[in-house]
Amino acid sequence: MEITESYSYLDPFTFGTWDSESSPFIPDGNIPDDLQLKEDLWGFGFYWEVIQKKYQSVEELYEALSRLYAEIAEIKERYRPIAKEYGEFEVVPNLYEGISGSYYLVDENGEKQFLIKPLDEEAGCIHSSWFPTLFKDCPLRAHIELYLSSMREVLAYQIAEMIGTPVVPKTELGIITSDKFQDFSERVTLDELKRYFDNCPPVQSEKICSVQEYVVGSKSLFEALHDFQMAGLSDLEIEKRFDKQDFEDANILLWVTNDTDGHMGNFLVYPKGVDAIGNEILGIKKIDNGLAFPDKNGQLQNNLALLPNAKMMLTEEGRAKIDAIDIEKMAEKYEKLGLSSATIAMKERITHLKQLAQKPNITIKEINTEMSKLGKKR
Amino acid sequence: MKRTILLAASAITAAFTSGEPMKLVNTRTGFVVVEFKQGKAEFHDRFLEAEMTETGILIPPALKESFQNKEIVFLSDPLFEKAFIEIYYPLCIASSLYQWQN
Repeated sequence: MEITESYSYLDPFTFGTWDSESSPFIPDGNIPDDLQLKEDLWGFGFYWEVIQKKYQSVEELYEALSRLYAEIAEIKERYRPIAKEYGEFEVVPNLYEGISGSYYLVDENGEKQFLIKPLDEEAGCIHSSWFPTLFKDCPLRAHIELYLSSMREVLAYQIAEMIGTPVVPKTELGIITSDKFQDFSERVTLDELKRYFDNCPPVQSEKICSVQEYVVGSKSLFEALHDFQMAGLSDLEIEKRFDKQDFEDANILLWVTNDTDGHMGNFLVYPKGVDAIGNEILGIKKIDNGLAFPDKNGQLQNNLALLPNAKMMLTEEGRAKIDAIDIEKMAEKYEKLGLSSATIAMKERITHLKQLAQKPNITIKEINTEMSKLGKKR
Repeated sequence: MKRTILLAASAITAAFTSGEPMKLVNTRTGFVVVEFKQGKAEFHDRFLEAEMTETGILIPPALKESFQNKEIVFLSDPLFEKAFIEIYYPLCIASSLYQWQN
């Protein structure tokens, strides 16, 4: 592959403009002269140009911020009755993974027990340390609304259990309190801070989060594949190292959830058994499900389909699992977690998946290819 | 700490801008995932290469304008190196373990 076009690399976190089709505003790249918001005193950074165009005055900006904070508080109270408390654990930032806020809950021995993700620290949410915005559209994917990522994480676990593909670590909603959580006010300039707190609520150390069991002894599929390639394993040898049941289950789950973030780093592998000659067999877990369940189908990303294992035919057991999926019961779970807007797309793809699964001798790869076409222009 | 990460990202960008060959390395094992030399990508991870060829890099809606409004950038695209460094690496690869070296 040769790159012929010359361009300069830009800092990935300070360039570009927002142009989401689903956004209520589409900047044209020209900044009018009469903008009232002259200086980014709030540290929006990447989104400042959009903020400038959207809000006519500082007062408007603070009104929007205030409304957003009220909404976040309302979401927390709405889900408090079903959220658990984890007061006995210490919150430790997970600083090096991903661009959305994530932390570990560690026990008194310093052992990681859970991975938690605050609802309002997802990329694009106001307390995101990388991409804070005042908007509801996910900056990373189309047709995914912000402030629902924790619910998506929980729904992925519930759906996995419901359809008999238990490859998502147990995930629940939690109410966690910590002074280590990110807060938008940390970005605001010192000169602006008084006016900020005059208009906005104080820092909220209590947040609603997804709380997922930590998978002890695991590593990412990305890393495991590198270890195999370093050891010179052939595709056939690599294929034999993965648990077949987990592999098929994980594929079915991703088709069902329309995961848009199924890259190799979002699968964990862990020692599950050994084969007849002592080779370790790896089980598979799917993590990071906050970008699943889009309101429209499309953008399916399932990197398991790139593994040699994907040549295997769908088993009778897998076919039966797909056939048994109860769309209406699934819709009820969507509704309970505030994801009703995604049910139409779900019904469309599960219906399609059930039809595909009836085809004799169809392979995992073939199903994935067909599922990937959903929502794309033909 | 976040500031440190941002500065590191800027350093990576600067290194690429200067045209230096860069490779993405697993710092635990030394496995070289991919090398960029004089505008060419050489993959040592055959599964990642297959991904870049078959499915490509999905460009986030908020960044499409910087990628000629493309939704996906494939390995064969002139914008591939930019997409890999600016989108795929920060969004999909654990920077704690995989780092750029020249």
